[in-house]
Amino acid sequence: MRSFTAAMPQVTPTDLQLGWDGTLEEQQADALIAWSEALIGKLNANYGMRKRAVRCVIEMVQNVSKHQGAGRFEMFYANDLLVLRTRNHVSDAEKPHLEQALSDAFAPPLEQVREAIKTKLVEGERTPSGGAGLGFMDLRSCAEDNLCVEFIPCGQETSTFVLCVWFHI
Amino acid sequence: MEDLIIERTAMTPYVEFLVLDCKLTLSGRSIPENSIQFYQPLLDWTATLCASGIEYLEVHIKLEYFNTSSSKCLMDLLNRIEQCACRSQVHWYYESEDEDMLEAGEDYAAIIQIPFVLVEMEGE
Repeated sequence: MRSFTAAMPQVTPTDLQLGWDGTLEEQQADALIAWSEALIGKLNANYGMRKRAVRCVIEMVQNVSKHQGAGRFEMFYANDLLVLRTRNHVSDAEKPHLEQALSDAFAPPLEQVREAIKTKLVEGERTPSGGAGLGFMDLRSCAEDNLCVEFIPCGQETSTFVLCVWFHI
Repeated sequence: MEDLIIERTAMTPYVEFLVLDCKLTLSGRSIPENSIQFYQPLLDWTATLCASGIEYLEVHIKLEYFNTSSSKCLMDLLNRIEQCACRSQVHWYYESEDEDMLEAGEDYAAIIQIPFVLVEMEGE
């Protein structure tokens, strides 16, 4: 698992193309996905990369809406770099489960992620939210490992979970 | 037993499961947050059809996007068809520029013991 200090690209507030902060439930998630898709569709990138970026938006936004119902989503674009970032609160009770999912997702080297996804499809226990721990693996695959995560302690028994994915367009 | 037809939405695919034709079609995008809720009626319908003693089942999957939650549900659907005693075939459609959708089809084909036909379509 890589933290932000490792490789996260620098973005500035002026690079922000789309931002949302607050209630993020199914309705808001649907709108954010549609707006992001419209913006990504305008980028001068090949079809495959645009689709991968939209897939990441879907997973990231739904990850927040399914698990927390509130958080922040941001999409930055500048100098042929597309950056997607989510932030949401995670309680200390939830954190170990999330850390385990991340640990599993980051365990195989990138070239073995596709095989690991197949194994999860066959053998993975379904989580209460309907997945099988495939989300982070799919993000790794889509972004070719251009992603990082961080838990930032904030207040008592709570952390802010930050997930960032980027594409060189 | 009646046909199962569900109109597509921004988040869920068009579903056309036809009894007499023994043909199941999913098309559009499958990115609902609650994929189990969406797919459970499809799984139940398929199980009932299989139990009716059909001889052949044709499946057409033409998805633009699917989230990881749906990928597990697709797996469940294909598993159910695999367990059906009838002959079956899956037609998996992908756009010519969409290498990821081709790979997804290849991955399901490698897992599920049903003949898969990977069908390339013209891209955007």
